[in-house]
Amino acid sequence: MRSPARLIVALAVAGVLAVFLVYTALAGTSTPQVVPSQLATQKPGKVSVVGTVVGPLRGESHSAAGLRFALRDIGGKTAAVVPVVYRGDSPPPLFAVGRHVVVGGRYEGGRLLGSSILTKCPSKYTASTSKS
Amino acid sequence: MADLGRAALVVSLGLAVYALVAGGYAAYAGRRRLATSARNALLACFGSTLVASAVLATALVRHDFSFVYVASHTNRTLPTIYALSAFWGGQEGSLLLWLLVLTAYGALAVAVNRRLLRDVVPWVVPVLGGIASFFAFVLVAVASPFDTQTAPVDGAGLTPSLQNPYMVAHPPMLYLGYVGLSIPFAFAAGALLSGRTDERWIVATRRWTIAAWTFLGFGQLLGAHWAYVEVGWGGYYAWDPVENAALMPWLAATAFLHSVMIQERKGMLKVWNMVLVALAFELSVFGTFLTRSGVVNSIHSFAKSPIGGWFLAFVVISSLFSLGLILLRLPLLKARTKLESALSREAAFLYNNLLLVALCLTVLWGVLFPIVTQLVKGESRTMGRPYYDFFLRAFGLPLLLLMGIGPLIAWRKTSVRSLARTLAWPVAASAAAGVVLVAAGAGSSRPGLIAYTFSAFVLGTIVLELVKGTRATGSLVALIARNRRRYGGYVVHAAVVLLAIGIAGSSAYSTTREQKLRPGQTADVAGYRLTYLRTEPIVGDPNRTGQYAVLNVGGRWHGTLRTGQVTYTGFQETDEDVGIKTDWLRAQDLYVIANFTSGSQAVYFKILVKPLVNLIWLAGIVFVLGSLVALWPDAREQRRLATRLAPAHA
Amino acid sequence: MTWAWILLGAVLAAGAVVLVALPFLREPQPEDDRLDAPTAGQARLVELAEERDRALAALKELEFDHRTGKIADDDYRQLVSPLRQAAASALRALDAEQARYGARMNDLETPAPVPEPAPPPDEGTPPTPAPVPEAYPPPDEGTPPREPAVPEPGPQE
Repeated sequence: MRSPARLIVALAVAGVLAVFLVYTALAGTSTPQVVPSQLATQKPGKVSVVGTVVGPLRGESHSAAGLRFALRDIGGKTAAVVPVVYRGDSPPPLFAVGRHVVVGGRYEGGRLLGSSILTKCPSKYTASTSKS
Repeated sequence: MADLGRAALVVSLGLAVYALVAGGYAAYAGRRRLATSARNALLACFGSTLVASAVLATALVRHDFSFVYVASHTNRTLPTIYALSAFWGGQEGSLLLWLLVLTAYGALAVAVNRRLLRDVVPWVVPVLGGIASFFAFVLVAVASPFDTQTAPVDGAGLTPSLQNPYMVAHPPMLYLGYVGLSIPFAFAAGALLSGRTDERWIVATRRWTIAAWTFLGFGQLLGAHWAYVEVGWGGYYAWDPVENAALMPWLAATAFLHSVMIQERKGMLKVWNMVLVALAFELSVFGTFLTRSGVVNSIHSFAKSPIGGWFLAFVVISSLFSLGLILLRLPLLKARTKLESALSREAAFLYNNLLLVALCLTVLWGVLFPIVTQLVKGESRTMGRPYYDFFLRAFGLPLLLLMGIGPLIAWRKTSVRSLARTLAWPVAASAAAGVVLVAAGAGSSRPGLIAYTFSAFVLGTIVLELVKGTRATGSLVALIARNRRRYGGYVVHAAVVLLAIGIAGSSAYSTTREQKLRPGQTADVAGYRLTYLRTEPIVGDPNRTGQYAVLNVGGRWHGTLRTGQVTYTGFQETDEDVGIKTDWLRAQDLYVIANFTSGSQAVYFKILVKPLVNLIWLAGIVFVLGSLVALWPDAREQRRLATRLAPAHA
Repeated sequence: MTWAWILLGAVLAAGAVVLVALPFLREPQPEDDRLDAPTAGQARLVELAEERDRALAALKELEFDHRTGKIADDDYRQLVSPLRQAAASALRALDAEQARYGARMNDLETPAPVPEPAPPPDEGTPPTPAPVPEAYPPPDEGTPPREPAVPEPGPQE
């Protein structure tokens, strides 16, 4: 009796690939992840920006005008900052000036219209002896 | 004292290299005394690593700030338990922990099996020596825990949000898992190197694999619970690369655990198992590379470190070694029997493996995607939660179903007729459950409903198995005692079902509401009525400032909930102290996060009701119980194995 | 104080060296320094023993599955005889190899099977040319086998 094993494996691989293709065709949901200094060359659209929060923090995320702040590169080698307008749920409690955050949203007209903020957990494994 | 630590690590490195080189030569040339010497070197390596660890632990407890490591991760006011847990809180210390566990496991595994696997162990020693050499080298030359400085007055301290029992338990548990996967890998490589075609290495490392897998799984659940209770965003898993770093080897190990059963019984899937065990090992090292190197962005922030390059090189070299070895020994790995039918237990195990590996590779792709796109397009792109959720459902739900069908299919071949007959009862039970669930409102989420129905099905099959088995052998205890691995496995399956129900309930059927409340105002969420009473500032605590919002809860539960934000003096960080009310009867959580606005009495509350979330934590306990049953030493089996393998004794 | 640590370090290093050199110190002039590997004969015995255990395990599992209703009667009848033959031939092969391996071990072999303490499959032993002793357990149900001969270290090959 010929072993169906090869057939099974071939079908399985084909099946997985098919699922992948269907998914990427329908969803296509990868988001570019950039740092603020790269945003200038970015096309308008969905984007996810990793940076350090620059104050002052103005406004309130639930209001129409949103919470306004700026982001700059972690490590701060460039002075480039990107203005951010964040609207939505309250930002996570660790959100503060000087924090490393990931802001997701749309880049439009030189500004980042943020819809999600992720803050990083307290650091482990850092090379420096910084406190927070 | 740091000198002793440094010296001990150099000694460890020397011993590990000796075990690799001398052990390799001894196995190759068949030299008995040299092989024993190499084995002793592994044991001595454990000894010297233990000394180094004792030095670091002592320095931590004694607040010896002349150690750079101690000064960076502790301070004088830190309680002793957290000072000790700082051992694995930093890069260098965690590497030392890795080496310690590796040498401990290695020395033990080799000592225990030195007679039963006399021909394989001489090859296992150099493999373990090689792995230990890498870690010892990194500890000596790249990231030493024993760098010294002029002692500052006080250390930097541990950020308060890491001062909790999870910090004490979660990393060591994960390490016991990660490192434990080295043992089956080393024995598999040893078996291949020695040219042995029998399955003794699987039998010998079975308990090691199960134990490592259990530690890794439980460690992940601990991490999830930590995130849920302490970090407080309302979730427990974010598909973050660091989380995935533990998930991937766990999935590979799960696949391996199942497919070795086939190799033992049928002599099939030999090449596949070699690949799987190597994959599990490589993923565990790769996972720690991801975690430490900073090469991917993660919410567990670890700075970019030069150590990443070394780890990557090790993963590449050991992968090439494993691949080369498998290809070299391919003729020895011919299957003894073939798969006879697509409807057989062998085939079911094969499907299980394919699904698990597919899920594992999906997660791996998601983790690597930012790196790949960065290299290819110059712009790094990330996959979001929807990607992972989709594939978790696409592969996880069939896997859940298979967990129920698999144990009921017979070996070699089952007719559709007899399978239908066996499954009739559980299928009917799950259909009935489905109807009840839809009536109860579960139809609002289709994947959730499917998950629930499949879970009911699997539970039905487990019950069926236990009932039939008890009837056949006379007593449940005797049934389980005579076949601990199988019934322990069923208990673990039950844990997975609980996990599935918990995840489905708390994600597909959860309610989330964000509402701004002034004092006196009320929010109604999913049967709870929350009234914001007042804000209480934290007073009288020199270490903390902040405030708590006090809410009165009515409806499903009557009581008071406090949720707030705490800032620790000296650390610029605000922690969320969420208010969670667990309703044990309904197994759901009321979860409230408060966000205070400055200059206003109003508070934004994020209110979540998460049904069945506590089943996830219960699943963790059941999981460990099931593993214990499976691991339990069986005196009769030991005797039988000893007599079976006795012909090999000389 | 540092010299104390350095001394400790030296002691540690010395201890490691001793441990590593121990096999050579114990036997400076060994008669035989060859690695104790199982001979081809011994390896063959292990393989055959594994095959015996596998065959008997498959048989026992089949009977258990039949008893608990996973396998229908006619499927069982179809599957059981090849399994029984496989088990019988595995036993025969192992016996033959053991006899060949150590003739003086024969008197240590127990011909009669030890009855199982726990309830065995109640089909009873089938009438086949080579009766299958009930005592052999499958790998996943740990009852002890009849105590077979443990061939003493035979002449080194």
